[in-house]
Amino acid sequence: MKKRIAVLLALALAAAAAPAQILRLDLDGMIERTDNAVFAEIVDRHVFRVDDPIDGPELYYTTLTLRGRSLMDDTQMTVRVTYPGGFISETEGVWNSEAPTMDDTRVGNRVVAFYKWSDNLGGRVAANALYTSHGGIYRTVESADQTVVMGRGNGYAIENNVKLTDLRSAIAHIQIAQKEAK
Amino acid sequence: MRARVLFTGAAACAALVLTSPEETGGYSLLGGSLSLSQRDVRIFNNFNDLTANDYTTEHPEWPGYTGAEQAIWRAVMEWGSELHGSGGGDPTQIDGVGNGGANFDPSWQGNATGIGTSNSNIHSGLSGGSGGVLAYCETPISDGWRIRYYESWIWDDDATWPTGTDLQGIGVHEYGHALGLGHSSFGQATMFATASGSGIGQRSISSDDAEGVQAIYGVKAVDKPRITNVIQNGGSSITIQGTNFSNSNNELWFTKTGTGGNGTPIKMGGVSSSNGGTEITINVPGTAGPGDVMVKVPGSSHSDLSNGWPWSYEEEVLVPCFDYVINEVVPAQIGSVVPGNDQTVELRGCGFTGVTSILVDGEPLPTFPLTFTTIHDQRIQFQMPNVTTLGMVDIEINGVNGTTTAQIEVVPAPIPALELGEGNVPETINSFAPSTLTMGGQPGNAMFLWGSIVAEPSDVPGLFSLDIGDGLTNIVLIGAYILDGSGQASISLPLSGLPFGLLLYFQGIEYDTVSMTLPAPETNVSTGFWVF
Repeated sequence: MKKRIAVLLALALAAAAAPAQILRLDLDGMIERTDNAVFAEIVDRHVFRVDDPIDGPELYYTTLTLRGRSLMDDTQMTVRVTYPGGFISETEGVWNSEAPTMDDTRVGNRVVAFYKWSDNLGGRVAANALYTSHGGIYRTVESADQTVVMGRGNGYAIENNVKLTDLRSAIAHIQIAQKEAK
Repeated sequence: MRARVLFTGAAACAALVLTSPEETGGYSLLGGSLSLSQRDVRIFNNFNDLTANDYTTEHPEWPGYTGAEQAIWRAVMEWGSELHGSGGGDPTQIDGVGNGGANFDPSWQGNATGIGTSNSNIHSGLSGGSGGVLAYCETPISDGWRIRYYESWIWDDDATWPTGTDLQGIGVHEYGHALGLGHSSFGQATMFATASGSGIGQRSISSDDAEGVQAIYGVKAVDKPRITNVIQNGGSSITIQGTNFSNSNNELWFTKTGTGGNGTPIKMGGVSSSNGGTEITINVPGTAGPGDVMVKVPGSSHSDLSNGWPWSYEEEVLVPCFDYVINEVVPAQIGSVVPGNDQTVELRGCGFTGVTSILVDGEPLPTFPLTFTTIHDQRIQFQMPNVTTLGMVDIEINGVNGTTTAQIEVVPAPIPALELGEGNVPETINSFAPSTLTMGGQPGNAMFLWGSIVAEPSDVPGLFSLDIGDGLTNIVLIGAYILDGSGQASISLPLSGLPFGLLLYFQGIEYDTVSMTLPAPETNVSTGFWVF
């Protein structure tokens, strides 16, 4: 028994010596949890309403149509991602606390987005869920010769601004590491 | 409010050193506020998880509600202008529930019969999941709100330490949106966008959150009506005590009785106060049930509504009895270590008037201060001490009617438990007498005991998850101890030389030495308040 305790004690001490660890959705966690990540242009934005006998009335969802390339396998693709909240018109809809902003989701924006299939986002809506809603979409800007993905700060998968090429490399490394871990 | 003194860990508790004050200023505003007509809060309890409704502990600060209802009630009242009653009922919040300090107080209105529309001011579960989203709040703020919790997470209603996702903690965050706050950039704020661990860390709002709600509704005004006590006068009569009541035309708001309604409180208008605006005596309307009472003085500003004060009118009908006997012990079974000081055991029987002492397992309960309360001739309550005997343990009461006995079954602590001293929250500690830490769990298991001065979580995925230590940057491993045959281990902590007012946090990890199951479950956090 003493040996077992010693093992755990050693683990605990090792952990105590390691850098601070808190549960946060870093890029590794995001890649592990999602089906895909894309760098794409928002070509359409559509809000719809569902009234469900179980989940209640006035469920609003926004679907973005994204056209671009996968950051996981580099395939060209068009994909629709959905998140709760949105306005059909200026007066009909709901503001959702966890949804991305209107500015982040304007048609024409070029973004990086992470998504995962969900059989039910509520109201029996099956769709690719924009993973962690506002935490799953990142705007990009073009500099002289490269695309930069805008980080969202502490606690988000992309914390700091990063070149798209570097992000793609990082995702590739994470995929390799996660495959090897399995 | 969360204690936010930042310290740097050292080799021993006695060497912990103050390094920097708390930073704030990260809150954001949505651009609206809840008017006085939108202060109601209800729940449609459609939560499916067993853990969402298994907290059946009644508490005088949260009368009439347990389970998910009480969890949501506790959540929203954290934003209240001051402590909800005594602030008790949540042993994880050492400074009590109710820390907004603004001209804002919610009105608890109990159960709804449906999910409601997006402005019905109702909390409810939502089937399915949206990938990484725990819950959300929908709102056109001035017109109400609706909060949904994705059922893809395992919700937990416990007031103590949840095993699943903390309904209360997430509820505090989402209700912050309802009252007009956006996400905060301050990493330790409840309104920070991402939750870590179970979400329990969000229960207690930070000073940044408080500054946010104060920015919307104003800092609590000095002339805001304030309830400080409610006295039962017998029958349906109560006296509300406080300050700043209007001499006339006060309006009393009560939680409705039963399920349903539209959220509008039960209101009694035209009420006068006495004693210079400090007392209101009324007969409670029959439609009011257990919950909160509030006083609204004439006017329509945020500062015209008082804090909510817990209240319950229950007329107890006593059946005449003559024998001196204990008929029932509630609960009939209790853990050998019950953290905190909420381990109330109630004896039900007859002839309790004149009881002068109670012995548990042969040991008398302290009489100074008195640790038992004779409710009336047929009910008596006491705080269960930690005992080292498992199985049926004798309870003996003595008084003018003589001696009578009953038994309570003591079992190993069903969940890892930790108690500092007498279990007060916080427990006062000093250098004159070493403090005792009592650990409880399954006999033969090992308990790894940690100490910190920061109540921020430390997660080691796959191994354990602590609520203290701030990512293991401010923490020390005090030692590892084997739980004895009664599932207990105790140590003394001789401490000295610490600054007055320092809060020390302790937490254990119980390791099953046979199955070696990981991650290992954690105990509650015990908090010590250093005096000298």
